[in-house]
Amino acid sequence: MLVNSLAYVQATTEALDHVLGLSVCVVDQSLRVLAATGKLQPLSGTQLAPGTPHAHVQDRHCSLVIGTPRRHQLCAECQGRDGCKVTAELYSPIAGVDQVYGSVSLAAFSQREREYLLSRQSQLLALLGFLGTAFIAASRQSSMQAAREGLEMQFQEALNLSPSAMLALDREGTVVAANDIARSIVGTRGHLIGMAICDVIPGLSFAALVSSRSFRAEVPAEGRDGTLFIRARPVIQHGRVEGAVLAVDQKPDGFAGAMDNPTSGLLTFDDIKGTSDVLQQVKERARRVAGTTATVLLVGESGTGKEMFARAIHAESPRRGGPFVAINCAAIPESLLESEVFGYDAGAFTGARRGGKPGRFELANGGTLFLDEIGDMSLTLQAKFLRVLEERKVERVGGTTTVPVDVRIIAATNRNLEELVAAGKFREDLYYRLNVVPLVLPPLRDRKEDLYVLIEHYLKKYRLALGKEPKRFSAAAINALFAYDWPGNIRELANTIEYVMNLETGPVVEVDGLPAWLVRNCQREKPAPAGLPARRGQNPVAGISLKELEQDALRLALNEYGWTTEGKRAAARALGISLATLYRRLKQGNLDDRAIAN
Amino acid sequence: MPGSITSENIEDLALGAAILGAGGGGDPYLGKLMVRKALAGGGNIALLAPYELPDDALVIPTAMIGAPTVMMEKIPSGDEAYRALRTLEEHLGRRAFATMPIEAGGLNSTIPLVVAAKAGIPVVDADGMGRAFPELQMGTFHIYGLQGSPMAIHDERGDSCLINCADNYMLEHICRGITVRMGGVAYIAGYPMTGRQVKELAIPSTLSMGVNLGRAIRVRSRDRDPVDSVIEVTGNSIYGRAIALFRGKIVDLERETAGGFIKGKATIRGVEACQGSTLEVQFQNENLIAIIDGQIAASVPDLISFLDAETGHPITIEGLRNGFRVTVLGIPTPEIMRSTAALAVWGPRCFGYDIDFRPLELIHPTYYR
Repeated sequence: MLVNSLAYVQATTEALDHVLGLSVCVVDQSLRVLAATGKLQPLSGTQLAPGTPHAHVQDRHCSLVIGTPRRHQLCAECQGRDGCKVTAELYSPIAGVDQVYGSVSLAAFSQREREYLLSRQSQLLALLGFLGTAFIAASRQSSMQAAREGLEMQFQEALNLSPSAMLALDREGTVVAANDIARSIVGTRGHLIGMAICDVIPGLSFAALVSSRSFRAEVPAEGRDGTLFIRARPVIQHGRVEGAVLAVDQKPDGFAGAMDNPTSGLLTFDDIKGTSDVLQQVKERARRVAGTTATVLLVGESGTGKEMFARAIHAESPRRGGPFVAINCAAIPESLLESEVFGYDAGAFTGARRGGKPGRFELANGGTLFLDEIGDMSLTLQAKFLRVLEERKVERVGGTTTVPVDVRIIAATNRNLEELVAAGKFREDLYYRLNVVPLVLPPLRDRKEDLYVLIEHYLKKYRLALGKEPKRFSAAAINALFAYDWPGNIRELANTIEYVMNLETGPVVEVDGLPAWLVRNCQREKPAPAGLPARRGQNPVAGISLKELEQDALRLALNEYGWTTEGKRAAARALGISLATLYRRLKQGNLDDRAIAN
Repeated sequence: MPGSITSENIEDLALGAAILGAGGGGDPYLGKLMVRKALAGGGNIALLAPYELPDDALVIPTAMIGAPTVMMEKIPSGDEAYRALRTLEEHLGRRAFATMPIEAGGLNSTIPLVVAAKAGIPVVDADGMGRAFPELQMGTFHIYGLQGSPMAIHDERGDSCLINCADNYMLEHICRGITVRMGGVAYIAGYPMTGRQVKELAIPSTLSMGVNLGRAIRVRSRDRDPVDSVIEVTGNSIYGRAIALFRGKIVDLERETAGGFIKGKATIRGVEACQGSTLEVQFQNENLIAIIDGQIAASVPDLISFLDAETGHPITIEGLRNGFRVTVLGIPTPEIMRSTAALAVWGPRCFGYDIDFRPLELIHPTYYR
């Protein structure tokens, strides 16, 4: 161990020789001479034999004074005894509490040196004792330094393995470690290390980062398109914030792919708003199941937040670092679904991408696969699906080999699967395979007390986003909002508040400021024929873009036919578009679950 | 939560209402004792959400007015506010369908519960301030056009007055004067309104918010910072997710009582992540402005509340002491409290500050993005 601080040992022995005028020799535990000065210098680097005085003091844990070398019993077997010029010697072990690390000796080669050494032997032995302690401390420090450097290298390699940009901050908020992706994502020229986090990511303060145990935020990417998703955890030691670790991911604006990277799984149970007992109970059950690997079946009407629950379960599961991959079984045409889910090999079909393409199952490896609208999956696909769930292996379309996958399944449906099973439209074995932990999400009409929290949430959200004045509702409008059944659930509520914030010009929203369908339905009148919602005081179509008209038509059709899958199918038929197109347009217009979630 | 208020809820409400008090509103302790006494015979108090009220129901809010500290010497009998309610009912010739708080922060969250228990009527889960404010007209009832008169005022000796005023400012002025003559503390029933008006003017869910906040502090889990639990509750409410503005140690306190108000400021030196920074909280009965290193970090009507850094328990302005380790929270207010009309009554300028109100969400965009 002393060898760890060899340079220090050698420098100290040289200094001691210089001060005392005596030759010094330091030997380690294996009797190798680490340092030797003066006339002993030729011994440096040599290996001493057992039975020498150094071995003796190390074995016995005691110091030794040899006043008459050559005649001392320990010199009896020394091969160099005849030519030995030493006149006196002091030996002292270098020992810790329960371990000997080596020994150190002082040697006199003249009569004057001998007298000096023997007359001050007790002081010199004490000095050697201190010297030994200093050597041990220096060695320990060197070992710790080496261990620390090793850990730092491991830490750096761990950062480099991460698919996210990773930054470690000290207690001042200064970057002390980062991986290469960090440099490319945050777009910092030069050296990241040593920069304050507020300079690396403008608008992000260290105080905000460590203000909670699990910080999440989105900030615009400086100087480029897109948004930075930031997750951070403070490092707290003995109640003090000693730093923080951040993961930063970039998502380009307008990203609307069904396949998501891990960073978009930022939703947690805190984002699911409502204080009603019925919601709290299902949230609590979902929280409990999140930590397990069990398959979850989310059952709830359209717009009740099934994808939000799925994302929250993923975010609180041990798989949170893995991907969250969502697939809407009703939105993808049957012919494409198989290759989407299972992937395909090169040459599987005309137009197949060269080199093949991994399916959602493979993409979700190590993470969670969310299968929305599972009740709309065809029987053929169900069979293939069941095999993957049982074998945990995927065979690509047109492929000959199987790929093992480690995926947690969360399925969701707004249909009664038991009825579908009874009608022979859903495989019973698949039903039991998926229905391990069923969670029934309550519709909004069964938790009307949550309307206050939800309305306020969306009022704040859209007011800040649109830069409008705060609004409140008249008593009649409140009565209408609470009397309405909300068949489209939270999605419909969010759209209603967005509608109000966009179109209402005054501070008070009256009944006639609410969407017409809502008022009509809660007055239990027969819905009027489809048409465009009138913008009050304006020519209905003047100054409105085609896209807005299209969104209005979609919203109107869905409110006519319902926001359920069946309703969507009927709405798509009425609008003369396919169901998949309808889903795509909904997504484009932010009329989907994710819009509500954010 | 609407349904009913139990004895256990009262304990939680006393804790949580002090957070909504934003440093003022008085210690809910005496109010808690009064509700417990009123519920001693068993039973709960029915709690109704505003939307559950019939449009034509008569709702009469009740409250304590004056200096909460005086109550410690002039111990209330517990039925003063109830008698004020009865006086007003007689004057109006109608029985109240329900009562409700005028102010959800501090002691006044509990007074209507005493009244409801005694009168056997429900209490509405709403109020007119969403927090504590020092004057009667500082409420959404006044802001959005409701007359406070007629108002009945009672003291613990049995003295009472019925007040009719031309406007709410005069009502506050006269009512405050009578309160001084009654010994510094009195109990009122006023701002009578219909269920329809409650739905439009009141801030909903504030009583249950007090209960939920208190429960978050009381039911502490070992591995969780109680301040985090409080923040979680605010995030799932009509308020908005609270932000921990600052953690530190109180190093200076200036408090003076002038004109019946406690005015002054507290200086907090930062620890942990706030090391090297200083927070100054300026107050007038309630915490009004928080300034970190010269920059405004929160302003009225958004709530600024001191919590004990270890236990999460709220600390009122009177309870602040040098050396206390505190976490200072900023809590966004509901939208109904942030309109131009509302800010004209309780914005920073109404308290003599030459600044415009900026919502917490805009001051701390990164946290709220």
